[in-house]
Amino acid sequence: MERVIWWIALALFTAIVLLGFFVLAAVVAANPETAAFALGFLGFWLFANRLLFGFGQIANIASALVEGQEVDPKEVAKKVAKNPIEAKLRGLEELSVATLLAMWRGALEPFKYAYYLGFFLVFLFTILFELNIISSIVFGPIVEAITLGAAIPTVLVWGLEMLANHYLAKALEKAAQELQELEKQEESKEEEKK
Amino acid sequence: MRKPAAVLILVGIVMLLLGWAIGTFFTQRTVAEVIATIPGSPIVVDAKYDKEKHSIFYSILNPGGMPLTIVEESFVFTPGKESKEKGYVVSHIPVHVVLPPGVVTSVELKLKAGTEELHLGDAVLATFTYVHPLSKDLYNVIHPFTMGVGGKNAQQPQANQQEGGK
Repeated sequence: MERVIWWIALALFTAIVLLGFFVLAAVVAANPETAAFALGFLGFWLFANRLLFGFGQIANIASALVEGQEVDPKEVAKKVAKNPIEAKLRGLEELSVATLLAMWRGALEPFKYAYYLGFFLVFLFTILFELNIISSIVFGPIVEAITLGAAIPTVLVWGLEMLANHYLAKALEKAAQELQELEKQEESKEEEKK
Repeated sequence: MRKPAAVLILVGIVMLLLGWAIGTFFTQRTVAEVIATIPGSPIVVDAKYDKEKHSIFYSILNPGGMPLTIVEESFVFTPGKESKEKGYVVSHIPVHVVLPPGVVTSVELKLKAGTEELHLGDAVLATFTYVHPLSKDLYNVIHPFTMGVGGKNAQQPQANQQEGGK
């Protein structure tokens, strides 16, 4: 029984893959611009994925912190250091969630830079074609279609980045206030002891 | 450090602009593809006589999206008052001139060898036969040329007369 289901699943998978190839080939043959648009969208989404989910999660966790919900620092530490031993050695467990989030955002910085660089290069190419500095009847529209497809994930990355920055700033402010209160309490305790 | 609402509005505006750009792009491409399948009819923009080569050069615009090919030329020469030459007809001169889409192309019409050069008032009625890739039909463009009177100047008085008639 299991085997039968397995074979059916395999047949379905193969059929879907073949159909996908067929549709893709038909689209490319019909109008290469649409294919270029899809390729630009999917390709840039592939590279934007880490940024999208990273900034999204940072914004999410930071807003939860601001609202006063409890967040497990170990879960956030996993995002900064994948290896638990590394996390221990770096002393991540002693840090607050807001600090870990700031470190996480810092770790995303090089990916953001590389992503924007890639988008800028494609954009530059399009501008060169648009201003007729270089011209090609065949490649001009295709490069433009790739840029338009790539612009969609780029706008999302940009928006999520601003959102993450906003919530993280608030979370850090709150963490700093809590730290000050803690210090005051400790001081007053010491005074009482004296 | 913008507020979430401001971020959403900003992203929304940019997304609207982006959607507009994408829609415009694909509409434009579709329209361009449709236009590229429509053959236009050539327009003679200008005609000039070249004394040294003893031929008339026509500037022909192809306003359509398909290349047209001129396959044959023929012309009727009518002498003016100053010319001693007799009138003559030359027909079926086989040529092969491709008019690319959207561009003005120069086409040469050689006058009969050994005849006198054109004088003021001499008229040449040229017929260009062209074909386009969609059918085997032959089409004609007939252009009257009068020496000393430019193509545009020749048409203007007629237009004025029409206006005067109203």
